[in-house]
Amino acid sequence: MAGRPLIPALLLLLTLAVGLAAVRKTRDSSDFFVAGRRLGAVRAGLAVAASAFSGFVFLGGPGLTAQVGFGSLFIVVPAGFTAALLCRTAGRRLVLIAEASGAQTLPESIAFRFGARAPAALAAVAILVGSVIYLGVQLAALARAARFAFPDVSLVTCLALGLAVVLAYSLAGGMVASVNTDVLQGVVMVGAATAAFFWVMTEVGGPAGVAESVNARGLEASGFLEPLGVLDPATGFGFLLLFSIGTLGQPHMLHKFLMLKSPEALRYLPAVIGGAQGLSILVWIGLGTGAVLLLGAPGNASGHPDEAALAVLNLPGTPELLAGLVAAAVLAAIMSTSDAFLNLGAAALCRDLPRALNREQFQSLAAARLAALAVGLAALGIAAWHLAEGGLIALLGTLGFGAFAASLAPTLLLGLAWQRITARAATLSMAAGLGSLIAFESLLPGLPAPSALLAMAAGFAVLLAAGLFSRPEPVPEPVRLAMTL
Amino acid sequence: MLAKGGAARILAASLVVAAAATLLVPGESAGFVAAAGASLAIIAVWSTGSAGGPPSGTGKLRNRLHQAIGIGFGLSLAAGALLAAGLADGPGAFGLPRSLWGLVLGVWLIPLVVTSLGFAVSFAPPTPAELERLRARWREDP
Repeated sequence: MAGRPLIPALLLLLTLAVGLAAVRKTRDSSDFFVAGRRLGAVRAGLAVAASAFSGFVFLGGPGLTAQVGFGSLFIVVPAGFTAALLCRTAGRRLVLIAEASGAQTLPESIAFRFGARAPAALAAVAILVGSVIYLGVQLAALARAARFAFPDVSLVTCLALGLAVVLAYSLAGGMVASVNTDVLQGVVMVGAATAAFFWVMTEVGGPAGVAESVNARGLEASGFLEPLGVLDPATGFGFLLLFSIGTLGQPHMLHKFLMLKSPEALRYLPAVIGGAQGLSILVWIGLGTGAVLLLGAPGNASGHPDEAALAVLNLPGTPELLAGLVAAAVLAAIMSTSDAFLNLGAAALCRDLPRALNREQFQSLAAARLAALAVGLAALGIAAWHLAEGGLIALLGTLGFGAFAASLAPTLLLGLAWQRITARAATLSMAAGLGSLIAFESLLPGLPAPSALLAMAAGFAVLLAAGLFSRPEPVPEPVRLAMTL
Repeated sequence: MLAKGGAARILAASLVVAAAATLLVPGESAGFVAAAGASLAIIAVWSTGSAGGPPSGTGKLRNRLHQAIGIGFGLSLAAGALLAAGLADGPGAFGLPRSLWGLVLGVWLIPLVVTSLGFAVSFAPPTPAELERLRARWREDP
């Protein structure tokens, strides 16, 4: 029984060592926020994949599969093409903007494109709000994973320990630490997801065994294997649309494009991101299937759906090495996303917002570290509330994803590519997207399609309308070049 | 940059197919409309390279490849989404539903291979001279 606590503990120590080793390489804000712009395709690709796939994918995904069957895949299958779509559209523009202006954050890139403070300020607000929600998701997942990895240690101790490790290396080493640990964590995630998938498939008799087991258990009628068996079409395809287009507004992924050492590094980025994400998705399918077929019927696989994935690994006969590896991968997924949001939130708070409001920026590393600590504590509050409510990680994760999708995706997809989009159009679009999401969530529960999708549609509609019906503004030559090269 | 009429093409195509899907399959209209709209918007953005045509300075072969990737990706996505929506219900390979295979193969795995490899082959980064011109213009007019 040594593998389960040993491997996660080893990963925590290794992560801490890699992260703290980066302290020596973090000399200025360029190192802290964009890792000195030294990333090639493999490091950047693994870092993007690791920070994109979080506790949402490793715990929330299998839990959602146990609840709604394979309809949950509508959320993750867009990962097949979103990497290339990112590189083809917003990613390429961001690399060129960083080449021209040395922008270190997304709001700075937006300020460069539009030559105005208002859209940059709104982008910073959206990033701050979304970062706190998303980080809260990770901390809630951390609490659930801790129960499994360290059963003899109290939940509060596990939560404090995990948060302390992430804070320690993120605050000390900034993005250099974040990227270096992301690479390590990404490799662990891919290995564990692949191993877990093949172990579950062996246990249930392969794909044919899945079909037979579902029939034998009488689950066929419930539509467990059908993408639209449990979900209605508007919800299923709504998720597909939201996670296809909405990826173009995810700052933890897009920020990595500002760190590339040259545009040439883009060439193999979709293959690295897509490959790593494709293998990581296997945990969603594997443990989700295992939760239903090895543990019980959908919805009652374990005490809480988000713990279904790990409950599968508690079954008698499960190799301890596999249980330890998956527990380590869950922690890796959580930490790799958490450090990205700590840094993004810190940048929004101490750099982007003051600059956009024409106030003095807090340029020192100490200010960045203090801001990251504040973001971490705010997220801890969200996590505590979420755990007390007993909600699903996947649903809170969708809200965090949706906040970015609704506010940033329209501007980053069309605004960086189309010269007719003005600063006013971008500002209105971001306000409409974020405002609609808050209004839908608080005033109109039970909408037929995901509220984040409708909010994103509102953002796109406002951007297009404002772009088409407002007077075009001249685009400065360097901006035009960054948009067209 | 968005090509002349690019946005109009995207909007018109999305509206036409969404309307057709609503008329043809009223019972499942919401899902089909969403699928059709999503597919078309992505296809349009993809196949025209940010809705602005292939990057300047690319050769004829690369342009053809660029278009082929867009078409292959679009067809796979549309077919996968329609199968997932239940267009051809029934068991498929290994006894798993065709709708599930449509989602897994048509929307996930085939696009993953086509877009990743396609991007690697067709990507045309700016030349060092172009990048230097970009930096120089920014230094002159920050």
